[in-house]
Amino acid sequence: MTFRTAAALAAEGPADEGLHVLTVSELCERLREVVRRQPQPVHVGGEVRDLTRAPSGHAYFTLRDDGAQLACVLFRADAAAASDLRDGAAVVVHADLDFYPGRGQPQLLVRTVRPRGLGDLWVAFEATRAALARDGLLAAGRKRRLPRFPRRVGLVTSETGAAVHDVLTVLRRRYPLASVLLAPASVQGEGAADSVSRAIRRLDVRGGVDVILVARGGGSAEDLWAFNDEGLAHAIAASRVPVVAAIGHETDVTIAGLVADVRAPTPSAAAELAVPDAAEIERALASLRSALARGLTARLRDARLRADALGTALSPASLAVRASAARHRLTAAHAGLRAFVPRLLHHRQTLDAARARLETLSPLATFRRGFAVALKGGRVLTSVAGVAAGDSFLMLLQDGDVECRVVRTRRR
Amino acid sequence: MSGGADEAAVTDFEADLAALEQKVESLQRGTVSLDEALRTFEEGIALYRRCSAALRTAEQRVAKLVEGQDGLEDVPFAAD
Repeated sequence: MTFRTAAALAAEGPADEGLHVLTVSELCERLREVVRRQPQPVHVGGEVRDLTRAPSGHAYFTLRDDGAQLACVLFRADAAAASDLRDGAAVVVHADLDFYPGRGQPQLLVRTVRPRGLGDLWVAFEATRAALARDGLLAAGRKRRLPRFPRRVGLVTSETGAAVHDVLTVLRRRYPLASVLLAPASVQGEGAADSVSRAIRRLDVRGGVDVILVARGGGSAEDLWAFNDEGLAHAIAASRVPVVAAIGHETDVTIAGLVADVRAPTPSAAAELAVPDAAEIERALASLRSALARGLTARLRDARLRADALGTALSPASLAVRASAARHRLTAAHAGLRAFVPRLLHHRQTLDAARARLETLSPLATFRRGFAVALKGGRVLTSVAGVAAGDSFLMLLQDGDVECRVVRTRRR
Repeated sequence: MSGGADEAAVTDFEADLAALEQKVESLQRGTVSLDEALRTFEEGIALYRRCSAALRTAEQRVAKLVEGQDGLEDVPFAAD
């Protein structure tokens, strides 16, 4: 028997009549389907070998035990989360089983990697998570908004830990208006989950709090284990007021954190999320104050324009009364707000000016004060150049007119 | 329940802030008369001062929930 190259075979055209010949790709595709039909995902324990991190960010390693090995891929996002993964580590991976035709071998598409020993706990974690998801407790639609200005903040944590200090410090700095009701709980070890659940229920039943913070500082995964308890998850979900959970550090994922309305990376951050920042409110208040002043300015401007439009129809006397009343109010307002004194003074001057202008625009008032208007040929005389010696013109006074003749003109 | 006065102050704070926002809005809508505008302004300033004072003078109160003879009760909690 002689073997020819694939290229030669292709040149010859179809052969092996009567036999169903699969291509390697077709067979691999079948294998892939078989593999993918296995129950997914799987939890597999083993030792990490030949870990390489590709420039793309993906990580590749071999998971092995005494008798077998399996290729594993950790895609970029998940690889970043497993930055502490090392060769030789005993781990449990949570993965989808797949078949990679390019190498003709099965492989695990790893989602998460946990140190062995925690493996069992982790399987329990996943089981609890799945149960809660089935019950709808993890649905995004369940998440409640935190109150904008909580009057009373409930705090569930250990009385002696660092968390209580951190939370109280941040609450005091940001928003001392909110009082705090601490419900002490054991946050680690036997009975911790029940203790925390009971504290949450007490705060909730007891009433009076607008939000509940459940906080615990950093620790090992075992230390934080109480917060993966299903009963605790239900206690959080049953709370009538929103719950903020801050358990351990940012990278620690707990069931309590998943069920809570808001998950905070640290106890201090939970406190930051639970209350507004007084400094920010002060800034908002200042801008409201400015908006009040702007609004009043605009109203005053409107009023002046309206008064101008009314023109001579307004008697100077009544306008003076109004102006003085407005000035009175303005004076009172301005006494109440020293910061706006310069601006208010400006408004008052504007009003005074408006009144003065209205008075000058009223011809009656002008005549009454002794002014007269000279008319020549129906036009108002405004210059000595308009007349010459011997010309006659008309002078209008308050109660009639005078016919005049020019004796001499003198220019000033 | 302890801290009653404190809570009332905070309730007022939220209501005052909302009222202040409403004053600003009505002043900006521009349909009010000059008299009304001046009154709104004065009331707004009073609300502003109350809110501002509440923030500046507030002192945090911390209580602890403990199991007493008649069920749960609050006792003062001294931080640190």
